[in-house]
Amino acid sequence: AVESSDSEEEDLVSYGSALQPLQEGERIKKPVPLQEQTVKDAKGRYQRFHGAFTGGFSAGYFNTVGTKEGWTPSAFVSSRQKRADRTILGPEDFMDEEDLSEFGIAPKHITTTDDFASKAKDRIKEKARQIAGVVAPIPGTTAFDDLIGPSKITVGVELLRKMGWKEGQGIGPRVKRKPCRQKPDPTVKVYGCALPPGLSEGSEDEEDEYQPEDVTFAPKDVMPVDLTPKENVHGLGYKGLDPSQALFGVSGREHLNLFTGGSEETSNLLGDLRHSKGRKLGITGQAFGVGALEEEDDDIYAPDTLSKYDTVLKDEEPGDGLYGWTAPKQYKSKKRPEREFKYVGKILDGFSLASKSSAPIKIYPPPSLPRNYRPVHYFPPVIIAGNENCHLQKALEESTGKLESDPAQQSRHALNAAQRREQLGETELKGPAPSILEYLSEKDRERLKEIKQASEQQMKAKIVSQQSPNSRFQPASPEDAAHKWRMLLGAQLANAGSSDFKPFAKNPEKQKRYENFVKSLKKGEKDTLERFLDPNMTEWERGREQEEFFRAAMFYRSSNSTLSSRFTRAKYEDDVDKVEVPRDQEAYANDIDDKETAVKMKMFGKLTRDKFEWHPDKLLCKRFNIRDPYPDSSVVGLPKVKRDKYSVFNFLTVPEPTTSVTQATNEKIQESNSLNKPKKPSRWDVSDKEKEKKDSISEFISLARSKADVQQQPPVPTAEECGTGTSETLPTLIANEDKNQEEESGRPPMDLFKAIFVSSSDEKSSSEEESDEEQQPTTSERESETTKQADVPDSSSSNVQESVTATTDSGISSLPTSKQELDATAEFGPKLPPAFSSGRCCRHLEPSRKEKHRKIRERHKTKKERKRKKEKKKKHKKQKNKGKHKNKKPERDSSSDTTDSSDSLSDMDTTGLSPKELLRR
Amino acid sequence: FLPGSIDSTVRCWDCRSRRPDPIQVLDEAKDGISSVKLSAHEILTGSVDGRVRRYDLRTGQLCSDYIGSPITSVCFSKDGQCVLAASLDSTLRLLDKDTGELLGEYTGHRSTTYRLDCVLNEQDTHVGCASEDGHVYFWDLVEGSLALSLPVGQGVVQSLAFHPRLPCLLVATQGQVTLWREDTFQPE
Repeated sequence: AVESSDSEEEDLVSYGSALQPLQEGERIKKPVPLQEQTVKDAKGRYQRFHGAFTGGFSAGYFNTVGTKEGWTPSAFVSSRQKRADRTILGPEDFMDEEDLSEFGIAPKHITTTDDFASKAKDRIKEKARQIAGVVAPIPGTTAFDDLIGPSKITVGVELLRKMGWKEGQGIGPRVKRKPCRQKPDPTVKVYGCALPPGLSEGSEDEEDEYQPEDVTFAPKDVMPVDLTPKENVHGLGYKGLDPSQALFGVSGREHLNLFTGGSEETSNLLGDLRHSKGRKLGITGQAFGVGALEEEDDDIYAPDTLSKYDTVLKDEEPGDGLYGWTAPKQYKSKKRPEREFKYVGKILDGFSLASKSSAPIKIYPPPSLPRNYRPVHYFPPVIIAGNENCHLQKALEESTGKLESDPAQQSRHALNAAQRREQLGETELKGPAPSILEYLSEKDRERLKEIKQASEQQMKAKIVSQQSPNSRFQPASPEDAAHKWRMLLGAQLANAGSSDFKPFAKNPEKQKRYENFVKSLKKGEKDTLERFLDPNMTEWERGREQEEFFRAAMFYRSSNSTLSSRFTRAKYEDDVDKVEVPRDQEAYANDIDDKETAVKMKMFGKLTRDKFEWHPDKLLCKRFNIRDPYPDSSVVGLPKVKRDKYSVFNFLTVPEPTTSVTQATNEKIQESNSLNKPKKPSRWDVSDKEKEKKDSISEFISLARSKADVQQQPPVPTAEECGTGTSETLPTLIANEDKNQEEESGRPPMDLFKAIFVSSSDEKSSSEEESDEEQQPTTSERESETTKQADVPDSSSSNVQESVTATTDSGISSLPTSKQELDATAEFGPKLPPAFSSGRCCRHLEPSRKEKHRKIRERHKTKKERKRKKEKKKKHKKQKNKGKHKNKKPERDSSSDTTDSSDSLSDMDTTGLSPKELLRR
Repeated sequence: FLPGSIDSTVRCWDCRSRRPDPIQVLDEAKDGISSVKLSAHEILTGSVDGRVRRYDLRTGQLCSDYIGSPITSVCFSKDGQCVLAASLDSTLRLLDKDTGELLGEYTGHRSTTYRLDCVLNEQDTHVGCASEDGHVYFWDLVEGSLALSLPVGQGVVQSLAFHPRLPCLLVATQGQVTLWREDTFQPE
C-alpha cells in the first residue's frame, strides 16, 4: 500500500510552486483587499485602467500624474537671462516614457529608415497617388513629382545598369534566341485574349525564321512571385471599385459598342473615357447636380441619337465577306490588325493602360550614302621612317598638326619593345646581348662610333644643305636649336650638379642618353651633343629629342638648386607660413653619429639620452591615477613651437632648452658646434682632456658641477630664444649666413671624436699646467686652448694668463665696433657663446701663434679701455643693436653669457668633465 | 584602458568611455614600435628606430635612449629602477632608468631577425632572453655571466614570459607552448 501511494504521488502532476511551509507561531498574511490592489507604473504612480489590458489609463485628476496634485508644474525659470536657449517643445516632451514604450500611445518601433527600406514601390501609396493625381484640380501634377523627386535606385540596380542591364531584361548571359518572345510584337499583341498560347508561339516561330546567327538577346526577365500577403477579408481577386469608373461612369455607352466584344468593353478605362467625352472632372452623375442650370445634361436622359449608331458597314468587316459581324473573334482580330484594340487581360499591378495611344514613331530614313562609299576603314599609308623620307614625314606631321610631344602620350604603336615590356611587367630577356657591339672590344667600339658619327655628320650636312631651300618645314636645324638653347641655358647648366632628376625615368635608355647629354652640355661641347642621341633614330626624331633634352635640362635647372633643397618632402601644408615644429626634436641629423659612437664605446647615459618635456593627456593621467604634471597646459605630447616654415632653425638643431640641461647636453652642443667648425676643435673638449689630468681636484669638480648645472642654464635658453627670435624677425639674409656657414662646415672626421674621447693625454701633464691650475683654476678653460695650441710648455704662465684674459675679453668686447664684430663672428660663430677662439688657434697652429699673441695684446689694450666703459657701453650697445640689426642680439646675449661664464670659469670647465667621467666608468 | 601599439605610434585608448579614437597618440617614434610596457606611471616603448622611449607621466617627461640597433623588446625590472632592452645586435642592455646609463650588457644569444622577448626573473637576479637557436638564455644580472641556456626547441623561441612572482617560465616555440618550473615544484 505504501508503495502504491508513492507511485501515486509520483504520478501526480503539480502545477506552480508550493507555498512556503508555515513557521510555528507565524501569522497568516492577510489577503490584500481589493481596493488596495492598485496598479502602479515603474515609478510608483497609480494607473487606472479603463478596461483594456493596455493603453487607456488616465493620467488626469483621479490618476494623478506625478504628485497628488496632478500635473507637476514645472518650476518657474526666469527667461530673462536665458532667452536664447529656450527650446521648442515637441509633443514628446509632454509624454511619459510609458507612452513611448511598446504599448504606449506613441510606440517607437524600430523601423527601417528610408535609406534602407526596400525600393519596391509601395503599391497602395502609388495607387493613392495616382488617384489623387487624377482627382486633383490640375490633373497629372503628381507626374511632376516623379520627375523632380530624387531617384531611388538601389546600388544593385545601378550596378546592373552599369553592366549593361536594362529594365525588363533578365539577368544572365545573353542567349541566342528570338527577340520577339521577350517583347511581343504589337501585331501579336492584338490577340484579344483568345489565341491559344501554343498556336501563337508557333506562328511566331514561323514568322521570325530568319534571324542572324550572331545576334544574341538578353535572357527573359523572371517575374518575381508576388508574395504580398492577403491582409483583407475580400474574396480572392477582388478589387475595389475603380475610382475612374465610379466617378465618370460608363453607363450609357454599353449598348453602343455593338461590334466589339463584351470582354473588350469591360476593360475600358479611365483614359479612354476621358478622351471620348470632354467632361469636367469632379463628382457628377445621374444622381447629383441635375438641375435646370446644368448645361451638360446630355447624359441625364441618355438620348439615343442616330449618330451613335453605325450607319455604314465599314471594311472592318472581313473583306471576303464570309462571316459578317458574327464572325468568330479569332478571325476578326486577325483580320483587323490596325484597329485600335483594348488590352483585355489583367493589367499588371503598377501598370495602367496608356491613356493616349503612343504617337507613331517617326522613322527617319538613313542618310544616303555617297556612291563611292566603302564600308571598310581605310588607313592612310604609313611612311616608313627613314632618312630619305623623314622630311616627308615631318611635313606630314606638321601639316596634320600633331606634333608628338611625349613618348608617354603617344599611342601604343609608338612604344618600343622595352617600354612595352615594362608596361606589361615582363622581365628583361636574359638572352645574349642584343647588340654585336657588346662583343666588341672597347677600342673597336669607339672606332665604330666615330665612323658612324662621321657618316652621320656627312649625312646631316647633306640634309641640311638640302633643307635650306625648304626650311619652312623646319624652323631651326638641330644645330641652331642647340645654339639657341645653349644660349638660354648658359652658365646655369654649369653649376647644375648631378642629381636624381630623371625626366625620362620611364625610358631608361633615353634617360641615359639624356644624362650623357647633360654632361656634355656642361662641358660645353658642341658636336658631342649629337653623339649621345640614339643613332638608330631618324634625323627628325633626334632633333626632337635634342629639343626635349634641352627643355628638360632647362626645367631641371630651374627646379634644382634653389628649390629642391626645400622641397624634400611635403611635411607641412603648402599654404601656411608657420608650421608647428616640435620644440625639442630628437636631433637625428646631427648627433645621431655622436650617439652611435657613444653606443659603440658603450658610453650610455647622458650621451645617448634625450630628455624632453612631454605632456600626457589629462585623461591618461586620470586613468593612470596620477596627478597631471602640467595642470595648466593644454598641450598634449611634445610641446610645439610655431615657426617660419622655411626658417633655418627648423633644420638646425637648436640646443636643448628647458628642464634639466645636463652636462651631457652641453657636451652635445659643443659637439654640434664643433661640427659646424670642423677644423676647430672645441675649447671645451680640450679642457675635457685636461680634466682627465685633473683628477686631483675631482672633489672640487663634483662640487662645482652642481653649480654648473645651475649656471649653465641661462645661456642655453637665451640661445634658444635667439634662435626663435631671429627666425621670426630677422630677414632671411642672416639666416642664409648661418646656413652658409653650416654648409661650409662639413662633418668632422671620426678621428676627431676619437681624439676627443679616447686620447689619453696623461703624458702631457706638465708642471706648468698644474701650476696654472692651482694658481687660477678659474681660467683653466681658456688656458686649455693655449696648451692645446701647440704643446708649447715653455710659454710663460703670465703670458698664457694674459692671453686667457684677452680671449675672454675678446669675447666680451667683440661687439661694439664693426670690425671686431666681424672678428667675433669669425671666431664665435653666431649661435653658441663658448667654444670659439680655440678653433682658430688650432687651425693655424704654429704660424698663427705669434700673430695671435699680437692680436691678443691688441685686444688686451682695447679691453682695458673698454673695461672702463663697460657699463656705459652695455647700454649703448643695446640701443645700437636695436637700431641696427637684431641679429646682434644673440651675440649680445652670448657676450653677456661669456661674461657670466668668465666669472665662473671653473664651473664651466667642470661641466666638460662628464664624458670623461663616463669613459672612466 | 590599454595602450596599443601600431605603426610607429603608441595609441592610448580609454576603454571606459567607448570612444573609438585614442585619447593620446605617442608618435615620437620614427619607426615601428616593437614593444610596449607599462608601469604604474610610465609607458616604456621600444622602437625599431633604435630608441627606448620612456614616457613618464608623473614628471611629464619623455626620455629617449638611443641604443642603435632596432629594439625588439623592452621591460622594466621589478624594482622599477632599470630598463632591459633587447636589440637586434644580439645584445641585451640593462639601462639605468633615470640616467640612461648602461648597467649591464648580456650577449651570447642570437637575435638578428626576429622580434624576441626578454624577461627578468621574479627576483631581478637574472635576465632572460629568447634566442633564434632554440634556447632561452639566462644571465646573472649583476655579473653579466651566462647562467643558463635552456634548450627549448629547434627553431626560434618566439615568445617568453616570466611569472611575476613565482619562478615559472612560459615559452612559445614553433607552435608549442611550454611551461618551465623548478625541479622541486610539485603541481597540486
